[in-house]
This record gives sequence, structure tokens and C-alpha cells, in this order.
Amino acid sequence: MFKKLICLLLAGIMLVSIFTACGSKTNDSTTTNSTNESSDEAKSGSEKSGSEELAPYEMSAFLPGDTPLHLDEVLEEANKKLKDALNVTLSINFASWTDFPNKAQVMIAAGDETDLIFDAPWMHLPQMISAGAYLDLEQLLNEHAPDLLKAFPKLMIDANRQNGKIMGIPLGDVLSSYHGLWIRGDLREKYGMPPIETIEQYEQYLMKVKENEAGMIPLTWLGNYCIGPNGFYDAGYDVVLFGGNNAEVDIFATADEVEEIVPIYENPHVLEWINMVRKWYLAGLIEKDQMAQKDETGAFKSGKVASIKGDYIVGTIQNQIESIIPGAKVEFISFEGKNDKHVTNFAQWNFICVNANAKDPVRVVKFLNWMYEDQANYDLLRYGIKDVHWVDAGDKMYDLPQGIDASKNYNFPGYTLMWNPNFERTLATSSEDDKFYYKKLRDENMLVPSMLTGFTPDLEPVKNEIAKVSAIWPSTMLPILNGSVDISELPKAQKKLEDAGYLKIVEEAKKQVSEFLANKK
Amino acid sequence: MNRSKKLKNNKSNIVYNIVAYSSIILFSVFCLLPFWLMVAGAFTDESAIIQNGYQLFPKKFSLAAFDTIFAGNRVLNSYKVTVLVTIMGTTLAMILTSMMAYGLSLKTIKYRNQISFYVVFTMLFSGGLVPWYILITQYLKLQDTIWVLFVPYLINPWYMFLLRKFFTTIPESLIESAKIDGANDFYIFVKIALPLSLPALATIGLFYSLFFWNDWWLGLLFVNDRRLQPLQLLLRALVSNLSSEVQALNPNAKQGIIPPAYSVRMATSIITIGPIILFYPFVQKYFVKGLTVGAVKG
Repeated sequence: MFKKLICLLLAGIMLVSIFTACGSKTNDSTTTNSTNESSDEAKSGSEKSGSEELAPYEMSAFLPGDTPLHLDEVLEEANKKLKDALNVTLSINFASWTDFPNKAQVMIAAGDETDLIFDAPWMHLPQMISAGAYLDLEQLLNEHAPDLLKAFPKLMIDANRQNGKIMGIPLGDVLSSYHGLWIRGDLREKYGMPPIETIEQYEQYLMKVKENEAGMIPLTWLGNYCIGPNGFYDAGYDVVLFGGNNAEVDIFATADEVEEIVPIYENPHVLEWINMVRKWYLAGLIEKDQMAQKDETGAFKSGKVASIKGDYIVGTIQNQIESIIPGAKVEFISFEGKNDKHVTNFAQWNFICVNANAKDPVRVVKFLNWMYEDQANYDLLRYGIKDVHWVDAGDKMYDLPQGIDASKNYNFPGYTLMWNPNFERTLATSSEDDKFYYKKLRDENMLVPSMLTGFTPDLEPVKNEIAKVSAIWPSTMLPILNGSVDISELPKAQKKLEDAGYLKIVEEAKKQVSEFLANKK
Repeated sequence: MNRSKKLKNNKSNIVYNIVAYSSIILFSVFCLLPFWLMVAGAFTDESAIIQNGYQLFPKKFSLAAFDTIFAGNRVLNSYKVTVLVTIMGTTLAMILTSMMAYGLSLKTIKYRNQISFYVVFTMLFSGGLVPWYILITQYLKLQDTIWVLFVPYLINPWYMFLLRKFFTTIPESLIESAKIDGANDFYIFVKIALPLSLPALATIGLFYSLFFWNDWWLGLLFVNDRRLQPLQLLLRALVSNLSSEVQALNPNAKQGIIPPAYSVRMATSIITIGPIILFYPFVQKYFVKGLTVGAVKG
């Protein structure tokens, strides 16, 4: 009898603990709401008192990455300026990329008052927004941040709204991403080839490598992924991969139309790519074990591979490869004409958000504005103290002072707090190509907004289908997309994808795009 | 006759010795080789690693990895923090854990079963991460102090039960006779129970010190002050950031420097094993006995 009672009691306690665990969540959201209100009150209070008599405010930011060397010196200098301007003392805390998402999540759930928090759609921005972690900045920006709104092109802000709201400042040193490949310029010159601008020329380059360089792999890329939409079949288009990398519906958009949305195995652009990549694979231009490739950059750097997917900024790779293979040259190539206007959706990947629990959101927004009030403010936080950590090289360029060891210099990860295409400087020692692309991608006139600018796929309704499809994608569709399996296998793959619910994702894509376009008009 | 038998014995002994020694040598080579690869990797130039992979003897000797790690004095400072935390944490944890374990092992304590149940229950059903974080940051206000790096881990219920099990093996008659001679409970605990449990204490002390030495989780959650960062957290961040830096566009690295991501990984391992590897030989003699702690049920 007594034992039974104890069992009952135990079961009861467990039940209660489950309910309290669930309940604590709702409690959390109510507390954030209430702090929201109180911060609103604080906001109106500080507005009344006016800007001349601001109470001192300790502002903190939480960012991913390594603490930059000399950060304390720079912050001391910045805080002098901030004290005069806003009576703010800024402190910045860092956690490594691996740890940042977890810690940010715990802090937010526990109601921490850190003012500025980095977030990104690929991290946990959507979840945090639906948990009410960040403030909608629309009104605050309009009232308190005229310089910030001037600094960011309107398209950049508007294209990066989350559900129509400005939940964070989009950070980018350029306005658009840009896809292409890296090749070895020294090899190209050795074969007497002109700079590569078309896929045909590129194929020739790969063939030449195969003929002339024994033991060198002409082309490879990361195993779990298809390189097609990275410069091949997307040249001239803005391609949205609805459903993510492993359950994708490729939506092709230009400035004035969105092409009909079809399953990937019926898409003419993709089919064209599949035929080409198969041809290359059979000709031995692609690494036999491409699907197992894990470190293509390492292979490229050590001279085992002649071409990989590459960034439009060659930057550091050039020096790294040169110190390993003397005389080696890295070239970025893209099949979109170099001087053609680039179609883009202006999407950015990194955001700085204002914590909903911040004590004084107005001051936080004023601080954000302060960074763009004056180039000197931006420079101070981004590049450090002038003539100590960097020197002005004119024409929106900067250089390192003479005799400074670059690896021990101040180097702030701008993409986590302030990056802005109009304020960011280019390193004076960059290659001409790098400078060209920086300039092009920062120039609104060289970019054309696609029809899908501002469209963010909502994958929630097809979450289950995506999970099922991406589980079988690597064994069905991916080998075909990467050329290691013949196109005659496509019907089989199609059958499997359809069984897993792929068509539902296509339908959802159609629905969301047509809704988006209808709202746009 | 006698002599030949001895010879034969010797012969089989020799064979046995050869087999035994060679297999032990082979085994230790297997153990030492990865360790040596680590040491060699730490001293190899980054470009050589990229080109040839890790090698037994550095083709191009380089101290760049250590240079990167020790840039800005942060590692030395973190070293001090971690050493302090390990010493204070282990000492306090041992005192508290053994006192609690001894108390719970005594049959004369009335509510010992209830207390044990409470410990087991909270061990299995904890409040979770967020309530814990709130408790420590908002109620105890321990964040950004040295205390937060060990206070939350001072009693590990698992080790506590291990010790309690060990204390229960001390014959009750021994404790009783001490009592008759006029010793109080604390005196018995210090003069009789603890000396008799040295193997268990050494083992658990080693566990605790390893635990505090290797911990980065508390530092990650509760420490923003850069002067209080424990070593493991700093090195963890260093490695993680270097790997992303190799990919990312770091304009400062433009001057032909390859961030030594591969060799730094090896160098950090060397730095972290330092003191703890020195600690092992001292407790080893207790360790073997300690391994069987709690193995015999009864």
C-alpha cells in the first residue's frame, strides 16, 4: 500500500514537472512581452527628456567569432567618441562560431539584456523571430536613424525584410552575391588561352589540363552538393533554390519574369547542365570520387586540382597558393559578361538584431545610426585607430601601415556588426580583378533587381516532405546532377522523389511565388 | 639433469620474453605514433601540411602555430585561470563530496535514504539549461567571477555515490570502537574513513581535476570577461575561428600568410595536455585499485 502511494506520488511529480517545463515557455514569452512594454515606456521617457541630457548607458553586443586583437584599445577610443555623442559605453563579447548559436539561444531564452545580437537566416533568425526575441526596427529606424537609412540602399533593406518587417540590419560589403569558378591563371597562360568568358572556353581549359598535367584533376567540388547553380545554368538569372540544397525546386527569375516552376527533372536549364556534366565526367574532366570530396580548397591550394568553385574575391588564396606553388596564379571566372548587369535578389546572409529585452532600444538604434553618421566612426570600429592599425589610401581604400605584422593587427569581423557597401573600404593591395568586382557589386547601377527580390521561401508547410526528400537526394538525384550516373537513371530517381513527396514541395513553391507576385502588383 | 631443465626453462622464458616484449613494444608504438604525429604536426609549416599531409618528421620546421596561439598574452592568462580553477575546484569538490558521501554512508543518519533519493532524482530530472542559466546569472549573480567556473560543479552526484559505496565498505565495528574511545564523527571521518579510502579519493580527485581542467562549458555560458576565460574555451575558440578564417576573406592575411589552421590544432593539444600528463604518474599507484571502486557489490 505504502509503496503504491510512493509510486503515485512519483508519477505525480513527474507529470507536474512536465507541465511546468511546458509552462515555463509560455511564461517566458509573457515576460518578454512585459519587458517589451516597460522598454516602450523607457523609450517614451527618454524621448521626453530630449537628447541633450542622456543618462549614461552601458551597451553590449554579442557577436560570433574570435575577439579581435587590440579590441580594448579601439573600444576605449570609440567610447570616448560615443560618450560625447550618445553617453554610451560599448562593450562587445565574442563566442566562437561553433558555440555562438547555442549561447545566443540560452541567453535569449533566459531574458538576457544584451542589446545587440548577431543572427542570420542560416543560424536561427526565423525561430528567434517567432519566439519574439528581436525588435521590429521599422519605426525606430524611421525616427532615430536617418543616417543609417541613407547609408543602406533602400533595396538592400527592403529585400531583406523578414515577413515584411525589418528584424535586423542586413550586413554586407556588397549588394549581391556572385557565382563563379577559380582556375589556375598560370596554366591558362601556359596553354596560350585568352581569358575565359564562356563555358566552351572553360571546357577547353579543362581538356588542356587533362592532356598536359599528369596526375592533376581538372575539376572538382564539394561532395554533397551540385555546382550547377554556382555559375553554370544560372548565368543571367536569379535562381532561388526553394526547399534548400537537397530538396530543391529551382526557380529561375529575371528582371521582368519568373519562369514556370517545374520539378528539377523537367527543368530545361538543369537538364542541359546534366547532359554537359555527364559528358565532362565521362571525358575524365571531373574527379572520379567527386562525391566524396571534402576539402576542395585544400586540394586546389596544394595543386592537385586545376579548378574549383570560387568566390569573386580571390584575395588571400592567391598568396597562399603562391607560397606553396611558386608562380601559381588564381583567376576568378564567371560566364556572365564581366560588364553585363547582374540580376540579383539583393539577399544578405548576416544580420545585427536588437534584443527585445534591451533596456533602451532607442539608444541602441541611435548607436547603430552613429556608425554611419560619419565615415570616421565606421572606420574606427571596423579598421581600428587611423595611422596605427590602418592608413587611408584614398578613393575608399585602406592599407596596413608600414612594418605592421598583419596577423597581429586589429581586424574586426565587419560582417557581424557593421558591414555596409557604401562605407566599406577596399584593401589597396587587392588585385585589379578584386577591385573591379567590389566596385561592380557595390554599384546599384550595375545590378538589376530580379522579380523575386524580397521573396523568402517559407518551408514550414512542407517541412516533412523536405526531410524525406533530402534523405534520399544524395543517393538519387545528386549523382545525376554531378555526372557520375547517367541521365537514363533519371526516371527511377524521379519515381523515388515523387514517392517521397517532392511534388508537394513544387506545388508549395508555385503557390508561394504566385502569392508573392500577386502582392507585389 | 637439473641443469638442463633450467636451460629449457630459460629457453621458453626467452621465447616468452621476446613475444611479450615485442607485442608490448608494438602496442606502445601504436599508442605513441599518433602522439608523435601530433607533436610533429604542431611544428610543421602550414604549407607543408597542405601539400603532404601530416608527416612523422617536419619537412619544414615552423613555430607559427605557437606564435599564433601565444599572440597577445591571452593563453598565458587563461592558463593561470584554469590552473587556479582546477586547484580550487578539485580541493573544494573533494571536501564537499567526501563529507556528503560519508554522511550518507552512516547508518545512524535518519533521513539518509530521503537525501539520497533527492540527489538521484535531481540527477535524473534536472530543470534544464535555461532555468540553470537563470539561477546562476540572475539569482546567484555569479557570472563573470572566478567562482562560476567551478562552484556549479562542486558536487558530482555520480562521484558522490561512488565514494559513499566505498565508505560503506569500512567495517562498522571499526567506527564503533573509535566512538567508544571517545572520537567524534568528524574525527572519525578525518582520521579513519579518509585514510582508509585513499585509492577512491585519488581516483575521484583525478576525475575531478580532469573535469575542471577540460571544462569550457561554464566559461562559455557565464564568462564574458576576457581575463577570466578558461584555457579550453580560448583554445576551442581559436581553432574554430582559425578554420573559418582560412575560408573567409581576412584582408589582414593578404600579405602571403597562411593562417596555420592545421598545425594550430596540434599545438593546442600539446598545450592542453601539459600539467595533467604530469599529474598522472603521482596518482597512478592508487588508480589501479581505484578502478575497482564499487565493482564488488554487497
